Order: sequence, then C-alpha cells, then structure tokens
Amino acid sequence: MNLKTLFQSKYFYQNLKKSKAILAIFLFLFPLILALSHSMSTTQGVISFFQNNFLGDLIMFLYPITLSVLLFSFVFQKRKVDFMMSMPLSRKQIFITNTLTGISVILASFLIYVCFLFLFALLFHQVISFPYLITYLLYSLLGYILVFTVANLAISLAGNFLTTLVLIALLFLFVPVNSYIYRNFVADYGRMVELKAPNIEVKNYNNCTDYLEIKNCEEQKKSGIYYTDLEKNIVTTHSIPVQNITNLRRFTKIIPEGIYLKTFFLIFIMFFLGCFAFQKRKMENCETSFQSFHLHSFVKILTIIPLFFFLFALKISFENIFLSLLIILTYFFLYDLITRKKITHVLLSLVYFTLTFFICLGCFQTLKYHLEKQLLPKSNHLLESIEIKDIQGFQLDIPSSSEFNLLRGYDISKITFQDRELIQTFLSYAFAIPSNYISNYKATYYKLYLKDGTFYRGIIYLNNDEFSEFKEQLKESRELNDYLKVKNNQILTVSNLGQNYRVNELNITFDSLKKVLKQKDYEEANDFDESFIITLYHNNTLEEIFVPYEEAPIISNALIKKNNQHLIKLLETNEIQSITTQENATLRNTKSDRKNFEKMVSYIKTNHYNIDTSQKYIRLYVTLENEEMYYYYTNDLTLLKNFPEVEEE
Amino acid sequence: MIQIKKMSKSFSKSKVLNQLSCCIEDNCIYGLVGANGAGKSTLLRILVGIYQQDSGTVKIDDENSFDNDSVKKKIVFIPDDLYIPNSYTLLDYAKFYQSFYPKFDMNLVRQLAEKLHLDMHKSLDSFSKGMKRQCVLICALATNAKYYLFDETFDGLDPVVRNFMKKQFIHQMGKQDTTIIMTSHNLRELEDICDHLGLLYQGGILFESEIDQLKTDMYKVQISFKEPFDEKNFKDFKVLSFKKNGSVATLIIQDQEQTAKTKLKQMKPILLDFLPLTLEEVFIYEMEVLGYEFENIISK
Repeated sequence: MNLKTLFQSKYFYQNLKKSKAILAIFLFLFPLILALSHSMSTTQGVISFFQNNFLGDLIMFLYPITLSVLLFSFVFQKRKVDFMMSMPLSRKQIFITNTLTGISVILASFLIYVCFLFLFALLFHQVISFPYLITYLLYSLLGYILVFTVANLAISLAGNFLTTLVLIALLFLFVPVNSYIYRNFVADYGRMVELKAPNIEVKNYNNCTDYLEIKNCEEQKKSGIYYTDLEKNIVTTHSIPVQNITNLRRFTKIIPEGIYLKTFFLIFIMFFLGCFAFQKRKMENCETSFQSFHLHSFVKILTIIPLFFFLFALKISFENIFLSLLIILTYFFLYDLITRKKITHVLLSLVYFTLTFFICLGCFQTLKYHLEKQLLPKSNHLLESIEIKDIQGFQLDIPSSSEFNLLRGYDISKITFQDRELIQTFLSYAFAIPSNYISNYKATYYKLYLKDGTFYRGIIYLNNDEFSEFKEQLKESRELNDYLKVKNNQILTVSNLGQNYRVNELNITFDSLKKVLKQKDYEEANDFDESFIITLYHNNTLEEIFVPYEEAPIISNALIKKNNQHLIKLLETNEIQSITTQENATLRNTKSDRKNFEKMVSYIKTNHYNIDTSQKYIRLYVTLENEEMYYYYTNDLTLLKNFPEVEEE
Repeated sequence: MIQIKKMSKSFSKSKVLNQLSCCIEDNCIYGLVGANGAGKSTLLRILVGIYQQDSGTVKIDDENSFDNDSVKKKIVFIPDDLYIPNSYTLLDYAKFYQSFYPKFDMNLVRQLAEKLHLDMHKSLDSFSKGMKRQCVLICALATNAKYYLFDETFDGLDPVVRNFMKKQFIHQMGKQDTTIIMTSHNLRELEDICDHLGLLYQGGILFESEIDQLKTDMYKVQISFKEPFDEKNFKDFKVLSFKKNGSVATLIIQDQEQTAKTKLKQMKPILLDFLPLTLEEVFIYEMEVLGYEFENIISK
C-alpha cells in the first residue's frame, strides 16, 4: 500500500467542500487575528514574534483542536459514523487523509497569515525581520501540527467530546515524559540558593547583598556562610506546545536546543499512535460514556489529574478544603451530566468522590512538600545550601561583544574549569556582588555545575584589577591550555571595533596574518581605535598582539569592511539619530541640517563599505535611535564638507 | 456471495448477535425481518465494516469485510437514520458518492430526480424526511454497486414512491449482478419484492427460506361436504390450522410433496377453493410449527 492509495484525494476534496464555512474561519479569521496580534507587538517598528503573546499561545491550541474536532468528530455521532465509515475507504485511509487535510489547512492558513502580516506591515510602516519570521513560522507550524496530531489521537481514543479535551490535556502533561513537569507549572526557572563557603575570603564590600535582605547575614558571614543570587537551571524536555504552556507567564524568547527535532519526533509518534487507535476504535461507542459505571468512574477520576494541575497552575490552593471540595464535587456532577446526561448511583458516586478527594489532597500535600523543599522561593527564605565539595566546576558564558573579553571573544564556554584552587578563587569573585556601582565592573554569566549534574546560572562581576588577576589565572589553567593545545601556533581571533572575528569570518588568509606576525612586536600600539588585536596560541602560551591598521591593510580593510557592512545591515531596521566626526562636528535630522544629514545617510546606505586603510580615511560615529553607537569608515574625505565646522574652544 | 459463520457481536453486556450463520446468494433480494432490537442494523453494519464482529467470520466474495476498502467498493449502505452534510444539495450529495464509486451514474440520478420531482440544486436541509430518503436511495442506486444494504428501506416513503423504488430495485437487478439486503420490522413491506427472507430472533437467524418456496408449500383451502365432517377427516394431511364456520371449513395445509390437491379432490367435496396465503400468514404458521408465538418475535 503506497501513499497514493493511503491518501484519497477525492475524499480530501470532499472533506474541504463539506466544511466550507468553518474552513473560512480557519483560513481567514485565525490568520487575521494572529497577524493583527503580531502587528500590534512591535519593538521600534520591527514586528516582534516572540514577545509575550497570550493570544498566539491560545490560538496554537484552539486552532488545531477545533480543526481536529471538525475532521474527526464524526466518530461521536452514530449517523455520521454510518455515513463516513460505510464509504469505500479503509480506516487507515480516512485517518491519513483527514490528517493531511488538517495539515494542509494549517499550511494554507500560515500562508494567508504571512500575506496579512505583510499587508499590515505595509499599512502601519512596520518592518518584518525575515530570520525571525522564518523561525516563528517553523516553530509555530510544528507546534500547531503536534497539537493537531495529539487531538487526533485523543479523539481516536475517547468516547465523547469532553473526554477528548481531558485526554488532550492528559497527553500534553505526560507525553513530553518529564518528571519535572510540575516544576515548570509552578516555578520560574531561576531561584536563589545559599552557598556555604567557610574557606573562602569573600570581599567584605560586596557580600551580604542588599537585595537578599537577610537579617542575620553579618552574623552568618562570621560563620563562613555567604550568599549569592543564583538561578537554578531546570532542564526542560518539552515540545513546542508545552513550552508555550509553561511560559504563559514568562516567555523566555529563547528557543531551546533540539526542540524542533523533539517536536518533529513527537508528531510522528502521535501520528502513528493515532492511526493505530483509529484503526482499532470501536465505532459503536458513540455519544455515550462507558456503559460500566465503575469504568466510567475510573476514567472520571483520571480526568481529575489535568484539572488538578490546571488548578495548581492557577494557584487555586487545595489548602482551602471547602473550595477544593466544591470544585471537585461540581466537576464530578458536570462530568456526569455531560458524558451520561444524568446523574446515577449517587451514593456510589459520593464514595468515589470521597476517595478522589483524599487522593487529591494527598497529591497536593506531596507536591507542596517537594516544592517547598526544592523550588518555591519565599521571601527571606533561602531554599538550598551548596557545599564547595559538591561543586564539579564552572563555565564562563562570555558573549563575543562582552567587556569581559577574556580571549577576545574566542568561544571558551564549553570549557569546564575544575581546578579546586581556581574554583575557590572563582567563588570568591562570584559571591562578590557589587550593590551600587555595577557599571564600573566587567560582568559575564557563568554556570556552576554540581557533582549531581544540576547547574546554576549566575553573574560574576569584576573590577579592572580583579579582571586582570582572574584572567591571568584562567590563562594558566590546565583546562584552558588543554583545550587550546590543538590550536598551537594558530590565530584564534582578530578583533577591534567592538567586534571579534574568527579569521575565516574575515575572508583573509593565514598567510597574510603570518606576514604581520613576522614583523615587530606591536604591543606598544597606542591608538586602540586605529589598531586591531590578534589573539593567538603560540608555544603553549596565549598571546595578544596589537597591530596598527596601516601595518596590515589587508586585515584592517577586511575588519572595517565587516564593520561597515554590519552597520549598513542595522540601518535596514533602524534609523540614524546623529552622525559625528572625530572633531565632534555633528549632523542631526533637524530642519537646518536635514539636507546634509539625508545626504550622509543615503551615502552610508548605498553600501559604501569598502575602505583602503593605506589611503587617507575618516572615521564617523553613527548613533542610532536606540542610542547605540557604531563606527563608520570611509575614504571619501569630501563627506566632511557636509558637516558644520567645529568651533575651537 | 455473503457468507457468515458463527458470528457473534456484543455491546457491553448484551449479546446482540449470537453464533449467527447464514449465506446470501448473489442476485437476490434478501429481506431481513425481526423485532426492534433483534440485531438487523448491527448485522448490516458488520457487513459494511462499520462494526467488527467479536467472533466468527464474515466473508463477502470470499474476502473479509472488515476495514477492507476493496470489498467496501462493492457495497453501498443506507442506514435508517440518515446523515446529510450541512447545506448539501442533491447534486453535492451525488457528487460525494460519485467520488467514491467509479461506476456512479450521474444521469440516472438526474432521471430519477426528475421523475420524483426533486430539485437537484436545492439544499437538502429544506427537504422532508421522505424526500431526503428518496434522494439518498437514488444516489445509492446510481453507484451501481454489487451489494446494496438498506436499513428500514422505505421508512418515511409514501406508497407511490415505495412502489416506484421497488421497481427501480428490480430494474437495477436486471441491469447487472446485484444483491440487495433490506431490513424491516414489517413483513408486508418486503413481501412483494424479496425473493429470500430471513427472520432474526435472539441474535440468530431463526428461519430462512425462499419466498416462492414458502408460498408453494402451503395452501389455504376452503372446503365443504354434503355430510357432516370435522378435523379427523383430514388426518392424512399435515393440517396447520382448522377452522369451521357452519358447513364450510378453512384449512391451512402444508404439502411438500404436492399431493394434497389431488387427495382433496378425491374426497369429492361440494366446495373446494385454494386461496393464496399472505407472507405474514405463512410466517405465523411456520413459527407455530417451530413452537414460537409469531407476535413475540416480530412486531406488526
């Protein structure tokens, strides 16, 4: 049996034809709402796809579930079952064709959504970032399809519509196979921890931080107990839709690694399970719950689980006995009324209810115990204590443009430093949290790994002296040298202009770099703005060499070209606020300067990014509307004529 | 040919079909009768593959019928409770069937719709129950399927349309190899069209026979003699019923050897009339022979 026989195009067409009105809602209303909600969430005129968007999250569930019900709900009505199942199609053909119909509708509505998005962008003068759009489309598409396949599976298993909804909730709670699932429902990812470190001399000025608000901090410090603000990182193994549920209150904007693959894999699993369940489904179970009262009650009790999680997520506490009693009792009766259209065996129902109530109460207490012990932060109460002996090591997660420029942006985030002495030094800095003058410090994120595999994220702040001292210790560390051994006599990065580049990013050859290195030692180069820095690992030592632009025009030209290109790219979505020369002559978009200002902007935007540093050139400071400042280099000295003359003081 | 062997089907605790066995030959109209809840609809749904039997085998043209699309292509099933997608016209409905049945005859739909005065472009939502059934039946006929399974076929149709439809069924059988299985709880509906009858009772086929055979096996005789007589005078015959009103007696005689007529003439009666039996009468007496009360197993 091939795909052609499994996919029945005529049935596909009839499927679409018999639901024209509802399809119009799917193909126009949902995309319209989605496009409108995205158009309304912009950052400086650029449409933002991953901002908190409750409506978008809701549609990710509402849309595919409704679509699935539309295509498969015939199984809940006897006469529809008679009609559909008597057609000359096998169950597999019906399931596959319906699934592909649903996916096609989702795809079509995404296309229409993109059209709406462009229309609104045109109308409201907004900018769409293509990489984000593509990421969003892929992310959402997989999310929608997973919800759709889960709903199909639920319908194939369930006896009625309500049970379908409960099953969908159950499947989303348990399918991602995550024992930590409840954590994500009730806690944010970060929390504070207490670290006991008796052998560390933490700087006096910055322990006992203001915002930890611990009354007896000074007392505890004497006993060698210090505090820091750490985020415990909880590893999530969720699929895209669950990622959205768990982030309803706080969307991280970060798309976790492997989530596409995981979701794709789950789609396949759900699809095959759904197909199997549909083939085995007893079509006579229409419009009724289970005939057996006990089985009906058992399923009803099972459905309490998602209700329980839902209530917990809404912070409805089971501590209030009467409220929880009322909720479960109401739910029990509603469930009976919907699934059986009557309430029978009242006495026996009450017995089941009492049992369920006590089970729920027990579950709540257990959950609460775990949460209090491990997760839920309370004010003035620190939850966890970590001993130094528990620490495996630390990693430094340094962004390439960070001032914490340990190796000129060379990626060392994968190195875990495990040297005990280095860990102690690191902790003495990590616990030093400056309270008032953070701007004078260099800072970077770090990950602290424990021996049990958990890890915490924090920020380390260092002043200039500390930074130099710590940097030297790191450079000499065994872990870094082991890591760089394979790079011996290789250039790691070339940097300046606030950016760090790997050599291959600049399209320059090693030979041209070697030529520079053969020349004299340039460490004396004075003008930082007019020189670049080469970081290399040479004779088992990490070295940094400053080279003035004019000494190696091939490299400096490549650097500046990259810089100019970066600026021009930014100008696609940003406006220039002002342009300033080295002599402080400034052009703004004011009435008097407008003509010259526009001329300059137009010149920059016309992709004049090439420069020859062996010739005379000028450096301009371009300030964008978001106050960020960038350099722009050009050999066109005539541009200076556009600027007003600077008056000498 | 449809072959069912020891087939059972239960819903929860109630056994609807129990070890049912029967064989339905090709090119016949098979009437399935039985009281409400006897399992007629369930049997049809199993034949078309909507339900799966719990045990036993169901073979259509020597293939298992459940979830078998190649078998389902030969079958068209019209249930008692019809479903028509919202705002569908007769034309839409016919096209729906056309997309699944390769031998679908759209011209036949047009012709029959014209004869029955059904507007092909009007939404079926606005049609009466009987008109909807007419539409569904003509679409079913147009499929040119080999097996037609009709549940409560004539439910809601007026006598004129019933007769029209019966003629169409017979016409259809003349065109190609066709087997029609129709169910009813009313024997009179099936009497003049079926050539085979099966009586479903307590999950099994209680009684099955060719109608012609049934009717030729039994006579209703009105008889009178010069001399006084009673039931004892007919001890050589298999008398299923004897009623005497004055000097005229009415007898129901079963006569498989076809010798009763000659024997009765030899008794030199002054009045001897052979009257046709209705199917219902045949059934009543057959059931009595088997020891059942007809009223208990079929609703009139």
